[in-house]
Amino acid sequence: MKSNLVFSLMIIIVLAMSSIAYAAGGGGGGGSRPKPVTTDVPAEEEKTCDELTSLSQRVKCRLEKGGEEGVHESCNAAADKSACAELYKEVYPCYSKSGKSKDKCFRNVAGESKRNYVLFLLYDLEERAEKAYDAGKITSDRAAFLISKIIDIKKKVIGNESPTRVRPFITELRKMWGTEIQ
Amino acid sequence: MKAAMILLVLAIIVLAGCDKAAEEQTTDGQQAAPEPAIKYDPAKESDLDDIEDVFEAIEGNLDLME
Repeated sequence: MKSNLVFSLMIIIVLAMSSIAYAAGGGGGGGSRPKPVTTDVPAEEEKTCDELTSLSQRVKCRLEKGGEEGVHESCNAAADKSACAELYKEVYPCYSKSGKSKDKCFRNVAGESKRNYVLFLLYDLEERAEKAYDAGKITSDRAAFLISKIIDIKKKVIGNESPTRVRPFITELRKMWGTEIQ
Repeated sequence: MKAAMILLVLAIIVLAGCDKAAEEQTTDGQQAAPEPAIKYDPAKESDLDDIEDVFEAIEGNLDLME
């Protein structure tokens, strides 16, 4: 009687173990293999430099990607944006010159307008910061920081701010220039 | 005698206070001194290869802006 009970128990255990093994085998066989999870999340849309929110981000983006800006940032402060863009176009050849001949060229384009002359000189500083970045003398962050400061000043000049309001920003820029670009 | 001592102490305190005030006034006076004017000749052509010339031309022409 006792041996029958032990025998029955053994049969139950063997049956139970075989059913577990069968179940496990079926799982790994492939029929019920889980499908690979497909991530249908769309790739993050890459923003263009113009779409970035802050000025320094846009400047940094253009520095790193090497693209030309559509409209000069400072022209956004101008009453006549197309006239502002035309002015930049007109003075652009001067930037291939150097020393006194560059200065003469700026003066010729500016005519009687000292405001435009100051604007051209500020743009010259922008070009220098870009060149310093291209030459590896300054990081894109620091170059973008300096260029953003220059653009802010240019906006003030274009926006007809008084010299007394512009001067402190020039003084600050001059100090920063000495420490950033040697 | 006691009154004289008190007067002496008071006099010392007042003199010390005046000295300090005078010292502060001198410091303020130094800070308020005008900065030397930038000598910029607008007729002179700038050498724009020199960064100092660029900044001088910018600062010099600021006041001349219409």
